[in-house]
Amino acid sequence: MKYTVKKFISLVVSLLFTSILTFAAFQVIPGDSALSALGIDATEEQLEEYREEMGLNKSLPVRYLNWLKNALRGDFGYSSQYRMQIKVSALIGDRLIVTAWLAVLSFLLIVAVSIPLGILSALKKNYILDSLITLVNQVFMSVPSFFLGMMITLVFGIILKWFTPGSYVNPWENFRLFLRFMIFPAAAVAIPRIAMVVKFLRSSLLREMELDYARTAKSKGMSNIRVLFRHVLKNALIPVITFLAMILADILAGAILVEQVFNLPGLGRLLVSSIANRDYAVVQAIILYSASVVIIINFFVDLIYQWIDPRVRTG
Amino acid sequence: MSANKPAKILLLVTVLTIALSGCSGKNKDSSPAGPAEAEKSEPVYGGSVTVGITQDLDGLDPHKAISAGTKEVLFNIFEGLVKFDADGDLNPAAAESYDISDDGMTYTFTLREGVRFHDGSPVTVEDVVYSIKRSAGMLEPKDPAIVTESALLIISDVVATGERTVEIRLKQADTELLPYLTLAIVPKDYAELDTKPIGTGPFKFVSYTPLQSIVLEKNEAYYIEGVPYLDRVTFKISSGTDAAFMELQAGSIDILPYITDAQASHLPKGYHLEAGPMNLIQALFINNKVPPFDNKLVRQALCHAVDRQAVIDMVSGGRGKVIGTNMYPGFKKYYDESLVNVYPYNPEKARELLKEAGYEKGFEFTITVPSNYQPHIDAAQVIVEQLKQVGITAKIRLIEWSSWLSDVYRGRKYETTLVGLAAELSPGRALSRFRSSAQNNFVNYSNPEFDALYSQGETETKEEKKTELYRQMQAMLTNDAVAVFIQDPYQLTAVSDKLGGYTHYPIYVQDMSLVYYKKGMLPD
Repeated sequence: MKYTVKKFISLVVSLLFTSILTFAAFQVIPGDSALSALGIDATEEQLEEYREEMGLNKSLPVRYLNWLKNALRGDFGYSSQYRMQIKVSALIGDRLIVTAWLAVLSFLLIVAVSIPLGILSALKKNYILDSLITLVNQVFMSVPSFFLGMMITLVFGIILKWFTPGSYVNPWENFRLFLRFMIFPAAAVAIPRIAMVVKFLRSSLLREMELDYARTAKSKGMSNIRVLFRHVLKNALIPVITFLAMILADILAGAILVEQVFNLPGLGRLLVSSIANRDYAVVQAIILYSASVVIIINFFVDLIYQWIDPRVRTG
Repeated sequence: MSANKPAKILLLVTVLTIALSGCSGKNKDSSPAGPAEAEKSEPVYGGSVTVGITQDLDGLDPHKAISAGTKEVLFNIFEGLVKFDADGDLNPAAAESYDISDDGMTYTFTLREGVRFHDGSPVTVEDVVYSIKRSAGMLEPKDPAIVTESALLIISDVVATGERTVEIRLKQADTELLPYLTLAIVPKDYAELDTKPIGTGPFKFVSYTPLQSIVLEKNEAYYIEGVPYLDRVTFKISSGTDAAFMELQAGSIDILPYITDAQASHLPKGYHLEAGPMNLIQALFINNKVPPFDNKLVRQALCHAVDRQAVIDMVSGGRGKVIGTNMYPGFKKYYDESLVNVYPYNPEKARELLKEAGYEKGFEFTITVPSNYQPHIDAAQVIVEQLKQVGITAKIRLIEWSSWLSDVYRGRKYETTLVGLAAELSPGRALSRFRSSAQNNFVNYSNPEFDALYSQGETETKEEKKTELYRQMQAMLTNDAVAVFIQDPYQLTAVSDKLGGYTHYPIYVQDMSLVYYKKGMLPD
């Protein structure tokens, strides 16, 4: 229990620090948000009026506290790139659904493909199949997602015509068409990560197989397969879970480039356009969200860890 | 006098999303072709079209939008008292006629009968008064999100003088306000402009999803007979030119404006290229107050040392029009074509001028270029090479767009900068930035003669006299070599072969009311 409390306090402190850093970062970036909002030939009076209206004239700590106070209530103000006509929370909410779906689909793909493949590869060590898997793995691991995305669009979209590039449909309009389209960006996100997980799981399994308890089990006449599933797998999976959690955090935080390539209206695209337009309110909120996702997932990983392996608590 | 006439707000200096990129693709076959070919086939009514845009709208409220990319789309939904046509002339729209008083102080408009908003209600004088006051920031309480076009600040009052007449009174004479009265007429006190915009234009608003699309449908009650042809238009927002072009290749976009030169050379089957002047003044702007450029001879030497046609050939495969001054060829009446020949490419002459100015051994300087506009970077690179011929060493410094805005454009801390100035609504505004006291006079040009001519032109009501004054001012800019004017680049648009009627405007507009499916091409 004490462990959980300690971890929870560190969670809150990290989140607070993140919010301060996110806020402070935008004070040092060059460029005047008032100028971006009002157009290049705005008069000094117009700029001054705008800064007054947006509270840009107040001191840094005061602005931070105001921002934090509202942020805690889920109010991040209005988006300047939409001329104060759309609330930041609404803007992010809608995009988040897209990014979350992308993350969930690609995560399912990763888990469903990489774990069986990793086990297979470890079992068939030194066989042709293993070498083949390792080779393909090496290739896919070094290909970035966005490039894969472009290749997928070219091959499956333009040449084979399995899907129409840019034909994204909102899930609440037509779920079937939505899934049909999303499977391609999800694959682009998943494939390099599948390769990583397979490699990771394979070496983790092989390492465990060399340990005394596994050797003992084998010497008692248990088959390789039984040793693996009965004893080794559970232990070998512990580091893999951390790795998967990191991947989940990574893709939840927004697969920015893949969203650009597939033209998905997700968080990543919103982030890019917000940075380009100096829409600080939106950028701050997205970065705060991404950082929080990473911190919170790490928190849960810590908890899962000590639940699987009680030694962590004392160590 | 300029003190009480604040600098003009205009559109983005360098046009977003446009890229005549790359030194690649040099096919000369794609000359402006479109209309002539299109006229051969008969238009049919109906059908829907998807237009690719690469920049999200900055809102739906026409009085709040400032991005050129948004105005381009909203042009289809809203109309003003007057409206631009493809030649850059103003035609009456919500008004049927207008009259400008001889002293240039009062504009009187008579409303057209039978113009209705998209919700069916008729346009009244109250709506017009409200719309102008709202856009000009004259309503109380003021909405801070409405950025008032500074040209409108000259309005002192807007009064309904009859059931169908509206009078706009000015604080001081100005005969160039008309282009700004293209501002959208909206229903009085309508509160949902930012979510469900209602206008009087050829298309009605259907839906908008940020980062995805805006959908419009035909306004059956449009006051002009016969248009629009299309039932439905979708502007699809893509994450960038590359993504949009991929969708074009896949056939999910019918019209894609602002494609790059490289893309233009690889158009998929079933699409053709329409090219027209972009109305952008691309120039190497010079800080006229920084040595050695405070010497007119040095500036003139630069002009002679740059081979403009070669720049256009290298950077955009010849798709651009050489210019000699700060005026868009699109404003045919005012543009002085002869100024192109004032500084022919002549390295010898450039060297002579440098010698005369005391820079026989040449000198070094920096060209500042915003890092996000490839065509400008490419042009700067070509110019650097050309300047080496006359012994001048130029270095390119890339800077972020927002730093360019604050340091170069507002701060005027630079030697030279290569950018494009986007089209202004009126020819006078294109020249206004060169007044000594103009806030946006980022080239630091100062010439009392020019200032005097400008003030004269501002209040001149006779068209011929005005044209004459404008031509004199243009010539003055050229002779003083305030900048190395390079070109008006072509805007390249990919259009499906099934469509006709796509029209280039001298301002930023995607007019969908003229687009139609050719006979027999309408998809089921």
